[in-house]
Amino acid sequence: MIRLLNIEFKKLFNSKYFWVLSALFTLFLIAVPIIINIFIGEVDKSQMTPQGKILVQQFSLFYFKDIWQNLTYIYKLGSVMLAFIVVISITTEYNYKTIKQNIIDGLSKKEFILSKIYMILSISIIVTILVGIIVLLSGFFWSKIVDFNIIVENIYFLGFYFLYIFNFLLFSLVIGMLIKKSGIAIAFIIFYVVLIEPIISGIFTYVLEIKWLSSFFPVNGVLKIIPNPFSKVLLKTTINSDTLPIFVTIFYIIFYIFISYILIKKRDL
Amino acid sequence: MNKIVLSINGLTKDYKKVKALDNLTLEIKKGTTFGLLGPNGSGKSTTLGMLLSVINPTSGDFSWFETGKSHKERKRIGAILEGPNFYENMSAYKNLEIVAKIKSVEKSYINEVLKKVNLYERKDDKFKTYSLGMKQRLSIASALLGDPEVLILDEPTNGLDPQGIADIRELIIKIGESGKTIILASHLLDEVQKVCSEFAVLRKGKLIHQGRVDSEFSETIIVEIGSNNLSQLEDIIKKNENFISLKHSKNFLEVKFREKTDINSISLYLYENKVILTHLLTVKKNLEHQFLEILKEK
Repeated sequence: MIRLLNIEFKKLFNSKYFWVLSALFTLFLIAVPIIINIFIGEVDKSQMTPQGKILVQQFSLFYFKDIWQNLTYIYKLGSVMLAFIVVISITTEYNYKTIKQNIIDGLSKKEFILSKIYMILSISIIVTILVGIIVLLSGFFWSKIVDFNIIVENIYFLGFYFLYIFNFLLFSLVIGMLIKKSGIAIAFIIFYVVLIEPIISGIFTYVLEIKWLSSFFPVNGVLKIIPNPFSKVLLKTTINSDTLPIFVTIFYIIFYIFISYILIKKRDL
Repeated sequence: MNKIVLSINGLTKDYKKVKALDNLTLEIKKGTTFGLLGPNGSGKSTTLGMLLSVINPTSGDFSWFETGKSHKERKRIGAILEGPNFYENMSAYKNLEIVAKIKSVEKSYINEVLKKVNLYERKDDKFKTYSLGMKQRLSIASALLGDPEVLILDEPTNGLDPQGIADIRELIIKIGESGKTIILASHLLDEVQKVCSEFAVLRKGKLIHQGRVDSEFSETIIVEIGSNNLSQLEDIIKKNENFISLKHSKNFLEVKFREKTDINSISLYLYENKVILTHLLTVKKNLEHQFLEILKEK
């Protein structure tokens, strides 16, 4: 595993895309709490009605325990930058035929795909740790209560965030392997997430009235692993903790690993 | 007895419409410089691709070093297949670092092979800044990394200028002399002839000829000999010490002799054996011509 990671990170560290996208993503992680803080400050100063101000406070954006869900929910949006890293990493191998050369030089096909999966796993772990640190720092900075039990009460959202990222990056790997051209693969991922799946899921939910089906879709079903925390306040609905998205996410993780292995095994390079 | 480095048994690759390789059976012994000869599209690269596990065979089997065909065997082989494949934005040195990691060999080999192909001075330049000749040389350096037991070279002189071609051939000959097994695929007959000791000819995925380079393509002379009794002539001519092979033509035999002999001594030999000739002619044939003839046969 160390040898494969070593090979993979040697490739990554020499790619300028990796550094640019990593820097952008880190910037995004840091910018989110800062921007929210400015927004809340503005609300306090504004001429808003007291009820309005209370509503904003109810978001309890920076308070433990809700901060875990609030921030990881927003951070899901940035994952597309990490997806680019994965897509470029795999499509480059196809475009320059270095995947072929790696196999010729003595990597087994299984080792090759494992090196990509290990890379994705490492990125997911590192990003999760980074998010964890930022959430903790933000929480400590703004929270009124710093009781240990409350701090860690919702920390499991970090675990969900990890599953979400790991799943989404594996999805990007498979798309990259199928499409092989980085630009088209990236465009496809964006279109699929914002257009194709919502339309299909809309058809099933509202036209055909098969409402349960969209919970099993690869994007929609997985996104629900961190539900929208703001609807709790706005719609006054209680979120019943649903375990289905966790199983859907884990299912797709296994599915993508399996598919990527089959793809590399069966295809001629 | 020389050890068998590679044995291929009935290897076949079907694409949708064409049989890229049809039932190839072949054995290559240790220390051989083996030429795989054939026109473009004859199945050479498909064969090598399967032997290196980047193409899945439709049927048939092969085995390296009599032990198998996994990545463990591939680590003992240095190979280039259809042109140089490297990471464009990385330097030659960094590219070879990755190869060294994959092959699990010491980094210390890298400078050594770069010097061997005269790229040491340019080792820190990005691969994409290299000329075609330099890229080709880097791929040979990469194949040499870790001192592999077998070298596989697919059209190693493709696209090179005459000096580049000469350099690379010299390098291959030197490596071959050091006792390594080399498998060289080429559509150029004189390349195979200059570099290889054994060869096989592929055409449309079929193995149509196999032999030793020195006996087939060494400087031979071909003589047309005719007499009134061709079968008697055939018996006698086959006993000549310089005889290699013969072909029947309408009124005469086309006989191939070793270079040592000449038309005078053949004439004398037949006279001594009481053969009366009706026809005697030396035919000059260049190697390319012989190759085309092999392709035409069958």
